Amino acid sequence: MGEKTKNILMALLIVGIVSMTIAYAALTQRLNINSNAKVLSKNTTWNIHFTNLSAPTKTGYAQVKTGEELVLDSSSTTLSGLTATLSAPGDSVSYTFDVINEGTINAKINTSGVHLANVSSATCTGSPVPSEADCTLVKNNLTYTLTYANGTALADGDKLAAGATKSLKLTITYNASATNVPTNDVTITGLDSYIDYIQDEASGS
Amino acid sequence: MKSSVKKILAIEILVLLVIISNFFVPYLFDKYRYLVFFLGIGVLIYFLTGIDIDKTPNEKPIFKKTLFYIMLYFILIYLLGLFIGYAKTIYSWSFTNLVKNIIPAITIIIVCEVLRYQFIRKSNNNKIVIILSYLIFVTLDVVLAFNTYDLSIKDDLYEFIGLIIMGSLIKNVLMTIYDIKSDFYNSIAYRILTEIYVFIIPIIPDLGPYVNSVLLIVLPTVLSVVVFSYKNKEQDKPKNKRKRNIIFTIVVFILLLLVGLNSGFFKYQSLVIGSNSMKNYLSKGDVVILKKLDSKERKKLKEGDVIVFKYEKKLIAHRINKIVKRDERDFYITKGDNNERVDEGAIDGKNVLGIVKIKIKSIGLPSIWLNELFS
Repeated sequence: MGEKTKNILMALLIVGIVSMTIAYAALTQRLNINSNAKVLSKNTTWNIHFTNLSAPTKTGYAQVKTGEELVLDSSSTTLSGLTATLSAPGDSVSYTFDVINEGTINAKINTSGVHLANVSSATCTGSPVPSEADCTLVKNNLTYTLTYANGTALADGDKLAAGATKSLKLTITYNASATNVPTNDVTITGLDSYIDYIQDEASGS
Repeated sequence: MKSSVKKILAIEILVLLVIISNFFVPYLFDKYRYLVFFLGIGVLIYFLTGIDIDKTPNEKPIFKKTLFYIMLYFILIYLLGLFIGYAKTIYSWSFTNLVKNIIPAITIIIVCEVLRYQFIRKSNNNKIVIILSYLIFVTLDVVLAFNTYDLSIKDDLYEFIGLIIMGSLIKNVLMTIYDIKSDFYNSIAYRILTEIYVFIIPIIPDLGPYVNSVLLIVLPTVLSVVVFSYKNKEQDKPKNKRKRNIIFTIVVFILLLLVGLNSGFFKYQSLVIGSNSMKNYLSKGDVVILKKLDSKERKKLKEGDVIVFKYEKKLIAHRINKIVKRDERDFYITKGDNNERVDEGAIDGKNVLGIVKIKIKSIGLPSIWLNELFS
């Protein structure tokens, strides 16, 4: 009986590992990028994520191709996939969305918890491939902002109580004061950002 | 059936029905209401059959084995974290919040494990009572986590199945074995060591849901075998033991290889081909093993190589059609063998993940089917 039980346990282990491998096998043409490391805890009642993404609002000659819109990770506070083509000074693309605390733990933005995309390290692409000069020109004149919907800046310690929702606005702008434009269209990709929330010290779970 | 066993069976059925009702009436019970409910059940058991809290002689040796394997587990995962990285916990370190986080969690663990022990001890080895006890605590784990996942989202569903359901199934096997072989002190110790550390330690290895799911299955399985084998009278014949050890070693090696390749943490990674854009060379459902490339190794890429690269939010495996040098950087024009035209845009070198080294026919089809089922 002891041997049989051990064999059953080992068989369950093998089945479990193989099942998880099949489920989590990375597929080509499908990639989940999660730049915000997620901690898993048992019986988690921590559930803060973005939701209710709007369609992009474009000004000037700004373009966002179908399939290249901002993507929200519905299980975290990560923004990724934003691709915008800005051709002239003043062009901008903006999105509004909500951050919601569906858990039972009051939260606040961690110290240095607002991680905005680093425009200078974003990727330039296009057809034809843009020159380094064009890429630098565009990056130097790009402004990437993430604020609350009313324009107030996000700050460390901003609270998000359990059950609460706040509206945010993401804007990427080609500065109106820029005096030069690139020779060819430059598409900027790799603008990933996230907000790091932790438990609010004022109260527990 | 003894009358005490019948009483315990009736109590178990009551407890199970109350827990199951939470699926139909969400938020009927939270963990604090369950705590009060279980304390009430404990009082009921006390008046009906009395409470057993005796220590057994097996307790200390089994505790030592438990402690050894758990420490080994933490050492391994934190060493792994040196290569993979760590994640910060979300729990505040203020004294008030430490107390508010830890005290309720420990209280619930103690009450649940003492209750489980009563069920097992008073079962008189009745299998139905033992199985019901197991089902109660598996259902409890599932119901407490049920409303924190959006099961319509594939990733949440996988996490729920891997981390919650499968983790609970094997954890509760271990807890049951602890109660059969020794007492509740060992099950309490295991749960406190493996569940409370997230509240205390500020950083935890960021292993991702896949590897975490695997570890949640492996640790309690290994401990189940170790604890179950403790002072087991059956002894292997030397020849059988050697044969079993060889099979065991081979199986462990294969599983480690599988997890290592699939995790993406190491130099070589497995990927399932999700389309027929490279048909005749790579078909949908094939698995490729790719070698990740650093910037120096990328310079050795040549036309005709099949590479895997990131494009928008996708991983693509296509063949290099042409390499374009611009301002001392390489850009890759790629094309699927089965596509009429080259891919739109050129791929920056830093978006190239690696080069395909090995392909295995059709072994990834179950992943394709599962992905299509939930798409």
